[in-house]
Amino acid sequence: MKIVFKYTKLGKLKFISHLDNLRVLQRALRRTGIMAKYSEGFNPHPKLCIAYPLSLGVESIGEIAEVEVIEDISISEFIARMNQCLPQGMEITDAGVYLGSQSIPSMVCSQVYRFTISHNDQESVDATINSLNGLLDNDYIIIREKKKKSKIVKKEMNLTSFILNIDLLCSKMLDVDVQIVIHVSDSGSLKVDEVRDFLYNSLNGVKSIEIKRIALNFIDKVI
Amino acid sequence: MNKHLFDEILMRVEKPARYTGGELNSIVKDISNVNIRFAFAFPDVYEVGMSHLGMHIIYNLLNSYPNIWCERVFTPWTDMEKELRNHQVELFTLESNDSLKVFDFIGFTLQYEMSYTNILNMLQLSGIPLESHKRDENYPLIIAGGPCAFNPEPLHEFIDMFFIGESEELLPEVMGLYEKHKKAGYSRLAFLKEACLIEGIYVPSFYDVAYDDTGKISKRIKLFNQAPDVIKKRIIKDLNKSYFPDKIIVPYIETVHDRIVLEIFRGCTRGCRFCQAGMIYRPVREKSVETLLAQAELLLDSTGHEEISLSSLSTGDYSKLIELSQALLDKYEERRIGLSLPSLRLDSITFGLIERVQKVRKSGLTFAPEAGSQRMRDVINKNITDEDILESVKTAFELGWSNIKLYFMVGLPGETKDDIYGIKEMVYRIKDAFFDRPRELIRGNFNINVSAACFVPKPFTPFQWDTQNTVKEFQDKTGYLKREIKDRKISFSYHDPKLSYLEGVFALGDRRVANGMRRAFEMGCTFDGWGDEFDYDKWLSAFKEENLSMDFYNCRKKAYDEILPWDFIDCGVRKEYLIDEKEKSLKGITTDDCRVNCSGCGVNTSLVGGPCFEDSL
Repeated sequence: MKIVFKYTKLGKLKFISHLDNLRVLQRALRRTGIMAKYSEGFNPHPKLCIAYPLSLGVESIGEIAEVEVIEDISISEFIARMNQCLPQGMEITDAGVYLGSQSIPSMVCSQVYRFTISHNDQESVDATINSLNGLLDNDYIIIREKKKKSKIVKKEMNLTSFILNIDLLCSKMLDVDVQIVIHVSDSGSLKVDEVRDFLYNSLNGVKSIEIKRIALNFIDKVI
Repeated sequence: MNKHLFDEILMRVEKPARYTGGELNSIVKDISNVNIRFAFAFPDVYEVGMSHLGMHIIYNLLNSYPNIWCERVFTPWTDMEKELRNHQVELFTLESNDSLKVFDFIGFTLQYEMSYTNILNMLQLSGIPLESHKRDENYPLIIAGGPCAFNPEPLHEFIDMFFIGESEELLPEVMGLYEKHKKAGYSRLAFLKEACLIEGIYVPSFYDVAYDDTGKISKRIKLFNQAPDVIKKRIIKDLNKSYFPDKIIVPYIETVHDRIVLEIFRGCTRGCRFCQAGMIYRPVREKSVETLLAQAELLLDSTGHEEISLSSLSTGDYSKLIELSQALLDKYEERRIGLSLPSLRLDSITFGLIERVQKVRKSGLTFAPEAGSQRMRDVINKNITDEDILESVKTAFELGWSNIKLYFMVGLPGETKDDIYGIKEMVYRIKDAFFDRPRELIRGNFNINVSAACFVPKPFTPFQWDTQNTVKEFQDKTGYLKREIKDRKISFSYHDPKLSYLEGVFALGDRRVANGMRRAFEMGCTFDGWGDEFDYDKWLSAFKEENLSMDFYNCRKKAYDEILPWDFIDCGVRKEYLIDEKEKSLKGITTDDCRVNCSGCGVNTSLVGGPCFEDSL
């Protein structure tokens, strides 16, 4: 039975890499005693996968993962037992039996982030709010460098073509919260650092930017 | 440190989770409820320190007392060190993030001589004076224990008190005394004066050492009359009754040994003459199968680890190995929890067991012949023959292994070119054994990893009087092997001769090498054990500036009656026994395993108070 679950990665846990995150979930699963299906081979591991990697240093309230268990267990019991064994900052908030055949990671179509933009003064706050609508009108070319053997290959990308939406969520004191939806395609997606740099370069009077992932969107229902 | 800055720094360093703490089973207490704050300090990076069983035992042992809070600190990697220095942030523990300065104790574990500069660095990063005599009541007490404490002298200036031997009982005794002093109005000197009377405690500032014109030690002088002349090591009599944690911290990031380490016994009966652990951890004491099964269950349930490693100096020598392994497999096979059996001999008795172990989780296979020729193995009392080794690898090949590791040493006492050549011969015989089989049985991609360590004479071994090879001699020997072993299926690697040479200086050093260490640290030497960071030239100039000769310590043959820097420590093994063993090694005479025949090392009378084994005479 495949179970898809949604979980948080908050506080200190934001400093744990993708692979370590996977290990944390696998160990928690072992501690619950829930029997999982194991991979074959040299070093068997519980069949558990995370839908889409999260950048180091970014918190999230909408991570998605999938696990295959071999015992009959109700969803509410699964959530309760896992939450007892997960470290502080990681909590399962929703889960469901997954009946589809397509793998979860291949179904991700966009990632939703909340950027909290702190400004130096009220003037910059107003300017940011006014410029949000036009932010995606122009191309914004970024260059990625990739090492291929001994050569460095450069690749140009238009950042704004990957951003599906920028919406103002709220503005409080000198902070402006915006929600940004980033497209995930076969040819890849954006890194949050690239979006952060884009905001720094496109807006004025920005002091700091904090990022949190809110959700992942899929091409079909997964939970 | 404010949270914002902390986050900012962590975003810039490699593996930030090394510094965040908050792992499962880590312990946070309310400081208003504790009297003693203890920082367990491991002088290496997080991934190395967290793999060390001793740290987990001490951490949980101290935290089992409500009035003590033990926290952890590791050496920050060079990137983090830069950030701390740039932002003037003092080194902090993982649990409370408080500076080391506010603690009552900082306890360093001495696992390896080449981590000593990291100790100095950690003190400096905390804003604590390096030298013991510069610290007053406002600073923590700096204490140290572990195998390298058996020659504490190179660190005498920096450490306030050393713990010699096993600390499970000793540490709580000292904590109790400290609490008494703290309540009555703490004076550093008064506390140290009383602490040094406890068996196993060495306070170096209560002694001075005099040297003769040749630079050898002429005598030790006591500066505090009541301080003991001889420091006797402490042992735990019954391991079944001694403290063992029911849960251990589960790191978020991958560590060197990411598994449960189940210590099945302490000590070793083999008596290999190069091996310090084999001498200083005597006598052999086993844990019962019942104790081990109970400890395994608690640890598995509280960690979720997927592998148990049976740990000891020679796992194959545990008297109930088959019984224990079968019971663990019966219980945990279904949960895919693997068993790792390091240093196991492969023979008809263990064949079935290993076959079963491999079904759950496959592991690598390592053999340690240590020397290439039979003559040399007799000299070092490594009592295995070429045939034993060949039979073992053949068994391994039958069981499906095609990839094995072999450990050797070069630079052993009295070594000749033939002995070195013997390493090559043995490796090639093993290769032939793999291919001299019916073609249908040969499976897998055959590979032998041969590794050669440079021999370092260690205190409390029969070779403590011997000279180490020079860097040049080591280079000639490893270079020779590198030229001789030319085969696509055999890879040869060796330890850095310069690093091993320096290790010899600190293993055998006296009080004076402390100056060389401090100078090298001032010149920027840290993480010496990490190849890339090791700068031998700096070490050479540091010793030169301090007018110290390295060769005096490790490259000079010592007479049996010379006063050695560590002679004031009683590890239970008599000097006469070590001399006897040295003499036998010169004649190539071997000594039986002490289960077969008591070799009279003295540990039975000095520490056990009777025979070492229930079934011995």
